[in-house]
Amino acid sequence: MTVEPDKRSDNRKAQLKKGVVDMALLALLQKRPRYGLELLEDLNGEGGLDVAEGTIYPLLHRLEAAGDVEARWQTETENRRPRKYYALTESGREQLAGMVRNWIETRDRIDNLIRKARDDE
Amino acid sequence: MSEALPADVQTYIRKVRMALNALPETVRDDLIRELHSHLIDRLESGASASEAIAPFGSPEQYASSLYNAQQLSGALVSRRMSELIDALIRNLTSSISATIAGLLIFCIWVMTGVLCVVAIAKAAAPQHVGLWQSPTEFFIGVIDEPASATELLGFWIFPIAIIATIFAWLLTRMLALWGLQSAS
Repeated sequence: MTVEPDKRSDNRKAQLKKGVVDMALLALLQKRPRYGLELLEDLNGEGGLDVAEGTIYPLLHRLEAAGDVEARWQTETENRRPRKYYALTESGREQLAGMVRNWIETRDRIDNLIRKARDDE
Repeated sequence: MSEALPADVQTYIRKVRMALNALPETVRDDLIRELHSHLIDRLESGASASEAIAPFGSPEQYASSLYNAQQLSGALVSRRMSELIDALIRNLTSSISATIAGLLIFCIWVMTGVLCVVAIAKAAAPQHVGLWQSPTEFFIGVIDEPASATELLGFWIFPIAIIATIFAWLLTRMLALWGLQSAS
């Protein structure tokens, strides 16, 4: 049984993206607390990550359980409806710093590997 | 507030709520309130009812993901053994660390179980049960001819079984916490 090349490429892309969702989400919380829909729009818009609603809330709750984020119901002044805002904790900040270090190191090494392999040809 | 919502959305929320029945009411209310708030935002920004609901998956599916995440939170906060094991079992297939922790815990308890069963049997038939060494064999269990081998543990098997059980219990807690923390 063979899988169509397009589908294989999509699968690979999905796998690659899956590993960075936590990091991207924590990164979005660096400057200020945000609510679920806001995070989702940035992860998918700017980040191009294809995260679904069904994934982001359980993920936020897991990060909350692990102590990386804390949640609070808050009402914005111009909006009478409260929303649940997630903020980065100190431990979340440390986690994020570690994730970013690993990400940059891996990215640089793989970039080098690809460049070197191409130049050697 | 919910009167303003389309019937499909109300039904969806109700089904998720029903599927979360096993959770404490305050936790369930909070989850539903967040879902509700998200759906209203989507509807207000022009999404249709089905466009707003579809990305959550079926109500049962979504409730199950929420439930698993909650079990994990509850277990990590309370650190109660029953909750830890329950959360670990639910996350066995979704994280490699949980799978490894689960397998190790299983092996530890198989070995501890064997030791305890042998200890109980030793109490019933002290002459025939123990850790045996003969020129050809080395095993733990029941022997027909006690004279053909040497028993190594004697009644030490009782304290050893008790210590092994305590040790297995502590190790299980450590492994479950590790598996769940890495999964979250």
